[in-house]
Amino acid sequence: MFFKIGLLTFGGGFAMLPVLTHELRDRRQWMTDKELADIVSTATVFPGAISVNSAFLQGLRMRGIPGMAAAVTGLVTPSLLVILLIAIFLSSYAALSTVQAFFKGAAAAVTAQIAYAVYIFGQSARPTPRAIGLALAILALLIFVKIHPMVAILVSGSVGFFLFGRRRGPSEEPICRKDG
Amino acid sequence: MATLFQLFASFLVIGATAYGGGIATISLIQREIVAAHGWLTAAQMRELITLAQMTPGPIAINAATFTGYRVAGIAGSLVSTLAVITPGVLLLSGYSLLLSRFRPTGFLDRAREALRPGILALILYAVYTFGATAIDGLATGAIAAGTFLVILLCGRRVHPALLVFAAGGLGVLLFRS
Repeated sequence: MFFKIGLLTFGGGFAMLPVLTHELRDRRQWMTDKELADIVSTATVFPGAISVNSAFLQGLRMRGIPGMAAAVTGLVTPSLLVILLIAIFLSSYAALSTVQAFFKGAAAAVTAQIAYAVYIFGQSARPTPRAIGLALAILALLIFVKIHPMVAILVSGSVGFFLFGRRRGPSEEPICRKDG
Repeated sequence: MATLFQLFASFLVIGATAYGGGIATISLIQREIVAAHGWLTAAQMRELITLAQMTPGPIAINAATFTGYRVAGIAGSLVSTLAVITPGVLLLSGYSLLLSRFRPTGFLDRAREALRPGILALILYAVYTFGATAIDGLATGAIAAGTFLVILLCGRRVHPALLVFAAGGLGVLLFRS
């Protein structure tokens, strides 16, 4: 089943959400809305592709470790095969001017898709002015100091944890203190 | 063998720090593959990301398979792909074990909130770095602007991969020498 999701999820991360929702919730009824939201939100906090992480959690939840292994393998295999075939093909034809021209045009469209991701992010995450300020500061570090993108995530994680953690909505008041 | 090990290490780093979905990962991949190791040229990197947008599967995995193959053949592609999924799978396993004892949901919410500015910065940075290699004049700029408008107006009704193919076709008409 995750083989099919793997085959159908073009692009990255959030692009696959509608497919995942359709397959898992509507067609197979393996999970409810709430469970799906739980899995996806957990998947985003961990590193790695969101669809792989979701497959992992869903497989584990349903069938334990064999389910997890099956879901992850099923998800990764199609993209591995497709890219492998293209890479083999490209290594002999990459120099052709038609192929070059194709990539030049296609890459311009990809730039637009990346820019659109900013827009989507703004809509779904609704960052606060503080969060935007921190994002711009990190962007400046990336461009001018050329910090490693890994450092950008670490800075955001550590600064953000103290900056935003304290003042969340009242419903989330007893943050993790009590469990620890 | 040394190359395979380097590939494994590099994609382990990418896998461990790939937060926030594919697009936020682009600059990380670029830094490791192009700047740090010189495995791909800037032009090949542009091809790689473009391919990743046209083919199924997460960008980080596409990048691992593609780079691995270019650097060390089929063995390289398998090693890299395995490396890139390992950190997430290990961390999630640990988390799932912990989860059976207590539920630190407040912690997860806080972590998610804390990572957001960094993810936003990385997406903006990807616009900047990828745009710099992809937009080289009026024609490519116009294709990008046109595509952006189509996405804005039609949203998800037009499949993203279809747009990239269409722009590629336009590229063949316009730029073939």
